[in-house]
Amino acid sequence: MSLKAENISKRYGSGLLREGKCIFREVSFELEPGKTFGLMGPSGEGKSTLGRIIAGLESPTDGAVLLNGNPLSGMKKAEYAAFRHRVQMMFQDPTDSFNPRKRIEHSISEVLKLLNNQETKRLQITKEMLKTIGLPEEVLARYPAQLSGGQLQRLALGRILLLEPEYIVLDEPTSALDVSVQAQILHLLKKVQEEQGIGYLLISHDEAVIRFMSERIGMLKKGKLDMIRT
Amino acid sequence: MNTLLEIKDLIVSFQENETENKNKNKNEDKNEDKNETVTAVSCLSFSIREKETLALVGETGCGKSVVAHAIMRLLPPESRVKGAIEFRGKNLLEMSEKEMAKFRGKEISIIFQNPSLALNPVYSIGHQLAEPFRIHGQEKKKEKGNTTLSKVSGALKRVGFSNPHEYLGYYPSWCSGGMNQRFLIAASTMLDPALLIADEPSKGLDRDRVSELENELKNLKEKNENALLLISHDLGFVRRLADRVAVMYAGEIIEIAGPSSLFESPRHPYTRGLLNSLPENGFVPIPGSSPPLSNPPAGCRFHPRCRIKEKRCMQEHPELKESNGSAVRCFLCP
Repeated sequence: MSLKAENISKRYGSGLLREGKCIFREVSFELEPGKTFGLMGPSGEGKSTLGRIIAGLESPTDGAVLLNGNPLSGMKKAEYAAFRHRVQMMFQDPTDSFNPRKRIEHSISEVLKLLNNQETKRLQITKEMLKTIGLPEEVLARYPAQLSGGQLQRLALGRILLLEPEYIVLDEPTSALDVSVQAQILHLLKKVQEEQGIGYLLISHDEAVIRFMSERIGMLKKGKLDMIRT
Repeated sequence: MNTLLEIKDLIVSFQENETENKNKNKNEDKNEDKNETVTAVSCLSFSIREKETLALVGETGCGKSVVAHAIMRLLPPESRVKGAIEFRGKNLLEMSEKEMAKFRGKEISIIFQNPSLALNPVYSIGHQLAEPFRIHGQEKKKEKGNTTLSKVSGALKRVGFSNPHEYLGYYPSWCSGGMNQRFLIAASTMLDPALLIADEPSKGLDRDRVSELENELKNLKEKNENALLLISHDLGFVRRLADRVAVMYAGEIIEIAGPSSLFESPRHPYTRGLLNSLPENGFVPIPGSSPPLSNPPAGCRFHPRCRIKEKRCMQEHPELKESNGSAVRCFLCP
């Protein structure tokens, strides 16, 4: 499956009579299965906005996101729902990714219910997922506030993996974590990519993280995407 | 230099509220909840001298921010705090709330972790920056207005805003994270506190903003000569700013040393692991994860993840051994 951004531009505040502020213009790149495209650049240049557009959570002002050559904007409801399964997004702050009033088990099983899994099968799948992300079963009984940032970020990745995505947009996945936990999460992401062949769009302002993880690198600065490793 | 702040055997614990958890989610199994005590900080002792920068580093959840909030007496009501926090010889934990309110902002000030959450979204920057003067009664009726405004403008200039008057009418949502961070620094240093606590001030900022912040903190220290308690997981930032570095693990200090000695020849196995996780050392992770603070392991708290542990490490809890101005909590460290 190919996922491509073609001449994407984004403006905010534009309307019939106003042109609005252009965040970036005519950005193009392609994500490949099993490989990482690193997107770096200073704060406020629109890296996260670009990530949200690729994940289908926001629409571009111009240009298109193409899945196997088909534009996302022209998809029917069922096709779009299938796209959302296949292209997932992992956010910066793992504490915001879980409902603070529910146990982890509940947040995980919500995804499995969505996939129409039987209760017995749900438990088995959850156990396998925990093994992949290297956490003990006891975390299921905990509330998000009872877990560390690193454990929650692992669980956020684990929950995404239940949907068997083909691409994941990783929006600053380690910037809220300290260096030792950051190293663990980066190695986990690499391991998962090797095992499952998932393509990543990694967004980070940390050049060292981008260089460690990515085969190809683009710098988004002053509204333009410059390729610095191809 | 004289000791400004001395923390002696500080213990901070939180009692988990069973009924609250049950009420949160009535449909879930109620019998599983236990009344757990989470001891976030255990017998922690350190001191900060006047004009000194002491950095606290360690993994997320190791208790760094809890220490900062304990000093400011801003912990939630369900917390239990024991020990002593002496500021110029006065125990802050024995002060009334009224006395403490006089200290906050004036003697000890804090730059909170998330600038967007620390600023009030419905008040202008100018209004919020003038707040320390209002609270501490330094805004006299006759002087009201112009004098306060010029002080606020001066503080904004000090943190790098060349045209401060323009920003007084701005709201936090109009500004970037970096700008809000500088507003917070200006507000925290407005009354020239003797001790400034900066809780993860570089979190989420890009490289350019971090170097700007570093220069701002250095300039502030030079001009105001205040002491700084810097809490950060950005080890490069810490190395450039700190006079001493204290490494925390699972609620206790495991090593204290000067930055050059700590970064060039770390002694504790956890400190060595932490430095190996740095990008320049290839992102080598420490195996395993931190123990739950509700049930830390017996013996050395790091032993389940330690590569060089011995039998003794699993049975006895090591004390913090001091020598030549540094200290380490490990039986196996020289």
